[in-house]
Amino acid sequence: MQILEVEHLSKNYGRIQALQGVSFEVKEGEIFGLLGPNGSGKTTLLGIVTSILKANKGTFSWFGVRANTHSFKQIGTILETPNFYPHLSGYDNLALRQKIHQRGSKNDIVEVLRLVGLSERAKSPAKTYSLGMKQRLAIAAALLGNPKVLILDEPTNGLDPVGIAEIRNLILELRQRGLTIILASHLLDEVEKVCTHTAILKKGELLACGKVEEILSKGITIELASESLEKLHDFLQNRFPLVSISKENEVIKIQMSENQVDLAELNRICFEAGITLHHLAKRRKSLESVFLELTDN
Amino acid sequence: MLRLLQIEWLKVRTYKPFWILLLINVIAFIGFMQIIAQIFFSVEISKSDEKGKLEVIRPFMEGPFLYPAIWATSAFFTSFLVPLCAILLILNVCNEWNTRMLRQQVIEGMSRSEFLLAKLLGLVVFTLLMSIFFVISTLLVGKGSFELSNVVFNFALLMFSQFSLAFLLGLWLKRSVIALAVFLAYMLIAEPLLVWFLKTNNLTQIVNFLPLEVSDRIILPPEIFQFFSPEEYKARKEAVPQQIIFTILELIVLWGITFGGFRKKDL
Repeated sequence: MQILEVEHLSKNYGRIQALQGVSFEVKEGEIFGLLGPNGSGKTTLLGIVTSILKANKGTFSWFGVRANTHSFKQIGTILETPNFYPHLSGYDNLALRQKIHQRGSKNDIVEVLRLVGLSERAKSPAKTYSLGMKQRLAIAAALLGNPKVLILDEPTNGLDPVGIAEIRNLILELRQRGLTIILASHLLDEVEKVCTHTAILKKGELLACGKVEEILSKGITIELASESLEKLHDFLQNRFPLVSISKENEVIKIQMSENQVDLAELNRICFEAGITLHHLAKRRKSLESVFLELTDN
Repeated sequence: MLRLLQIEWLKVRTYKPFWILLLINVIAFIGFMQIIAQIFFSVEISKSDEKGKLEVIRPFMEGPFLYPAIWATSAFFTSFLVPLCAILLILNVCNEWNTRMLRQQVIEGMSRSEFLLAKLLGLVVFTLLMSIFFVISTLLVGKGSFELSNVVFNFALLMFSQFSLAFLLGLWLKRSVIALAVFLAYMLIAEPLLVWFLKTNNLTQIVNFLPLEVSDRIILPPEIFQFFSPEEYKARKEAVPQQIIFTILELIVLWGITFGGFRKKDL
């Protein structure tokens, strides 16, 4: 089932083009990571699909229909900083949210507060919470009443390493429950660990989009070495449609598309051509390397 | 609608500054009329007669404080306190921006129209509440046998109109300090200057349409003022029904523009 479809979204703030014709879709059960450096348009994109910002061009739909207040009531969202009425207690803030989106019951408030470990401070005003506690309260608010989709914009901001690990485990647990999650982050390691799909943005442009493993496969490098590197170089260049080929430190590095990468087959073809390989290895780049290459950093 | 009112109630229920300011408003509403009555009944006014003989008179006697004239007296003086209530409303709406809760409510599935409708309903309830305090303050100083007047409705309309202006200023300017400064500067300096300028240039008709003046003119000064300027008093009295219509039109335009403009606004 299609959860979110974004088509040719553009947004500008005066002369600044924050988004340029971005299109992608998110399907049910995916953990979709939005990656991009600061100012790449992640928050603008999430702002548009949550309707707090208006796009200059393009459309988006939730659950296969044009977005409306009913669709937003099925989405739990944390955008940027956690927002609450500071004078209201954690419990009252959640009760207010519940009144707005009309999801779940009073018991659900108690349940989500327990889930994020804030039961003991439920009656304290939100202004007395630490940043980490506010972040956890925001997660509780987003989870309230079992939404179908969760949108998390930098959910681990302000959390200590233990808190970050907890959030990561929570996301994976929620995915097992069938929840679709859209996660914007600049923590690449976080996205690589939890996301099934990703979109990479830079200066409002979509640079890559798809399954995380597919995007990572574009960063697979094969290292080969034989007695005659020149002969091997020429053979590879003529025999395979390579993405790239280079010679470094007595090793030839090639990049092939994912469906071509089969080391045993490669070894056999070279051997039949009279080239004996004495070094053959597959190197997979991290999402961070792929991201840095794509964003020219 | 009840849900929207419940949402507004949840927001202010434990918000101390709101209740403190409301208490100040209530005390001001009731206390101010008490002070006016105290002053009125303790002062005797002198006037020279045609022969130059000075006589001490009480031209007003208890007239302005007798029913139904007391309603006009009370509305006239209490209308000076309306800006005090407006401060509360500006702070209330700017708080939605400061806490970024306006956008959060939209994210949660509240439409922009629903947000405005909730605020509009809140304003109506607040106006009703302040109207009740206006009635109480009047009852406390009224003399003679009780009689109701349509001035109560006119005063409620004046309050709602000026509360709406303050609220919408806060909504569009976002920051309470700026909104308050603009509201007070316009009310205390800009509009009086405009009125003076228009009157001195024989553009009196335009005065009736100025944002605050339009509703100010639905409340007449106490009847004793006709003693000083009978013609102007008569003209103002005759214009009240027309000013009520203008005020209602102003409200429709203001809220219409806000509902329309807010739909397209980035939050």
